[in-house]
Amino acid sequence: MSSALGNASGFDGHDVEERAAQPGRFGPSLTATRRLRVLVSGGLLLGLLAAPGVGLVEAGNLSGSVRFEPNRLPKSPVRNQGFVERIENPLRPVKRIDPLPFFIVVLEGGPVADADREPTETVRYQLVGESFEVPLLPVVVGTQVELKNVGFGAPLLSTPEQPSLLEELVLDPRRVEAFRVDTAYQPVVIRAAGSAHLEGRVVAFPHRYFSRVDERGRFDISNVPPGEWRARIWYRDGWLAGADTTVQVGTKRSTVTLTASPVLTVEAP
Amino acid sequence: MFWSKIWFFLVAVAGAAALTIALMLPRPPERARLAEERQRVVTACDVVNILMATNARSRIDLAGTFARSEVDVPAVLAPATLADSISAEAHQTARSIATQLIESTSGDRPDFVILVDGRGRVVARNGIQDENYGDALSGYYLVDDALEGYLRDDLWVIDDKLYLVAGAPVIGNRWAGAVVIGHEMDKEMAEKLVVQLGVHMVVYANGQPVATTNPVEIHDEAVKNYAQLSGSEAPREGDCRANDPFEVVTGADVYTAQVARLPGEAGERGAFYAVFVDRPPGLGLTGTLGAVTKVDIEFGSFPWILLGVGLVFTLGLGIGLMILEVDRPLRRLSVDAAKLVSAGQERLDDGRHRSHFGSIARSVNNHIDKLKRESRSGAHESNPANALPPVGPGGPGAPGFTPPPPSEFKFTDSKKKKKGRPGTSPTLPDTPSNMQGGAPGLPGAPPPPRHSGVPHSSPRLQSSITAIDDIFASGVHDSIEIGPVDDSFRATFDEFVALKRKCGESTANLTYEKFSAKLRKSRDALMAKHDCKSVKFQVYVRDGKAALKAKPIVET
Repeated sequence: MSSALGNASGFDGHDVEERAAQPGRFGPSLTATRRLRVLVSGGLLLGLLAAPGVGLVEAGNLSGSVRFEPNRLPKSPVRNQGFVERIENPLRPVKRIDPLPFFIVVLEGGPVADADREPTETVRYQLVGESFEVPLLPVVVGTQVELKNVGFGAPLLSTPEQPSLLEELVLDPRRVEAFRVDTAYQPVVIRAAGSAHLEGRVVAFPHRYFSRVDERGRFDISNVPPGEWRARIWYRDGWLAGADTTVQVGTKRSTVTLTASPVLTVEAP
Repeated sequence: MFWSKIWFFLVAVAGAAALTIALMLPRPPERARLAEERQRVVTACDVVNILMATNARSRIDLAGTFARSEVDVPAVLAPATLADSISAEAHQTARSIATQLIESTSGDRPDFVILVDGRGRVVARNGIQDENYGDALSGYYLVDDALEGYLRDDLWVIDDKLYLVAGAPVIGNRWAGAVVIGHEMDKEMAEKLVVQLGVHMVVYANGQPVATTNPVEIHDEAVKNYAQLSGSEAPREGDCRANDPFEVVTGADVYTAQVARLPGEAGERGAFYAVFVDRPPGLGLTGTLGAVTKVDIEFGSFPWILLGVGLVFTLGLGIGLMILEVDRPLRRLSVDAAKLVSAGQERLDDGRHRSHFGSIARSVNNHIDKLKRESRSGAHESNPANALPPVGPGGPGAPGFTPPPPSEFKFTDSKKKKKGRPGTSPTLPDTPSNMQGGAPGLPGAPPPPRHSGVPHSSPRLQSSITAIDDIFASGVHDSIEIGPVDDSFRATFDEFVALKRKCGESTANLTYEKFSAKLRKSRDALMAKHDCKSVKFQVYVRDGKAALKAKPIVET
């Protein structure tokens, strides 16, 4: 089984088979295997012509990008401090905060094919050391998520907000443990006991019309039923305020640019 | 005696006051010392925090030095950042560089160095999990900050050990990665922190001690007190002064301790440190005396002269008062008493004697006067025409009442009595020996005093008078003269003999003749003295021996 995600860190963990084909590029729908499967599925859909509620339509693709207006992100906040305050290096200006790894572009309000409401495969979420391969993993409601530790430690993991999903699990190296995400828009936060920083999030959406964005803010959602959709950005635990836009998806590729404020304000789902 | 008593009272009060002061005096300094002790712990706690902050700055500087080292660290990390995975070759090169960095350190070498590429992956470790590489170290706040261009420190717990870590960005032509170094917080480092402070230190991580300068078990109390701090929103830097130090008792030892939170990721997971000192034994009186040194009692530092003068004055005044109020009056009284015998002086000059000695002199004079009166009274008895009328409570002339002598007045000089009281000769016929010997009308009994015109009530025991406590006491036997023998004291004799045997005394030398003669003599003496009708003899035990006492019976 291959990872359904791009690998933002490019970590191979000495497990080449698990490595994504396009590290850091796109979300779960954009791996090579996934693309192939989507194409096959799209062909089958066109051949069947009988999806209830959808009818015989030709799906389109939506691509686009996220940009910040004004394009000046703040410095990353101080998450913790040692004995002394952090010091900016004297050689080069420090980097600005990068919220893009936490951005999920989601389409809502359009015609959703019934087939796209069902999870098509198990999604693997890899622990690559002191962090997960991506900080926020989007899945379809009902997806079985497999946790795999490809690092060297053996953290004690749990989901404190939803203890029924993961309860004090020691995830030894190479061990795989699965749980199912059944609730949409309710992030599952995975934490490690004894580690303040180790944290992963899995959030489920009611269909597959979503995509992570790459380091340049680009995204691509394929096989979107034509119609009017509302493009939104999910950030960490809710919707990013002020970043919504309406997009008309046709039978061919459509593009959209989502504009977000550098001041990231989250609305509850 | 008055001033002697006053002086004794004053000395006793002064002694009690001195003892009270001696017991109380150590308490204020003990409180002060305890407060100082607590302040010392608080200060030490603060200083440890400052030292660790200073240590952290040094560590950050070292990490920055490594990042800008002459050894070309960016040359290794920059290519690794671009690669999909960390190659073994890159790992070996980076590890070699890490070794060089450690060896180039002057002073405290870091326990580990980790080189991280621009994507947060470990290119090489040295000093900790050396063989592992390629995993993501990003996620650690310090690593993320270092990859963004910050230099900072943090505290990590790795494999149940606490590390003080620092990170610095590695910058070449572009962001290349980061260098992370760490020193383990172990016993050696803890000792360096507190060696100048004279306190002990324990560092805790995950609820367990990871470094301690003293193996004393203070953990339970320390963890309990840390629990009060852990939820606090107050700045960590104020922990040492936010709460009062607490006591830890382990066996016979008492320690004063204070806890404070540690910062960083380890702090977020419950790492803290405790500083404690041994509490010296309580001062108290004995503790104070035990703490006295030779310097304290040297002549120059202690007012020995003043103490000596005070002691001499106290003794002198007390002795002087004793001489003035006791010795000299007593000697004067003794001389006067001797003159009663040797110089033919008839009375003591009670005007010369004051206080109690004057009372004694007056009592002696009274006694002398009484004896004289009795001598005259005895003469009057032989000549009734000269007999004075009895004096009763109602005044002179009260008929039928003879006031008893003072209770301490006893007939012990039987020979003198025999000479001065011819009418009470023991050779007279005896009275009946029942409990009321000498009843009127019995043969041999002396005629009872008559109180004509006054009706006689039934006789009663004058219980307040103990005429003769023990008529067989030593000195009395010599005067016995055996007269005619009758059986009037037989019952008393039998009772007496039985009691003597009961008391384990020998009765070999005791004959009824001697016994009855003695009783007759005592009876006669009492009757003459008290002007009573009869005498009651009573057998009793005195000091474990059989004794016999006689009590006069007077009419009321």
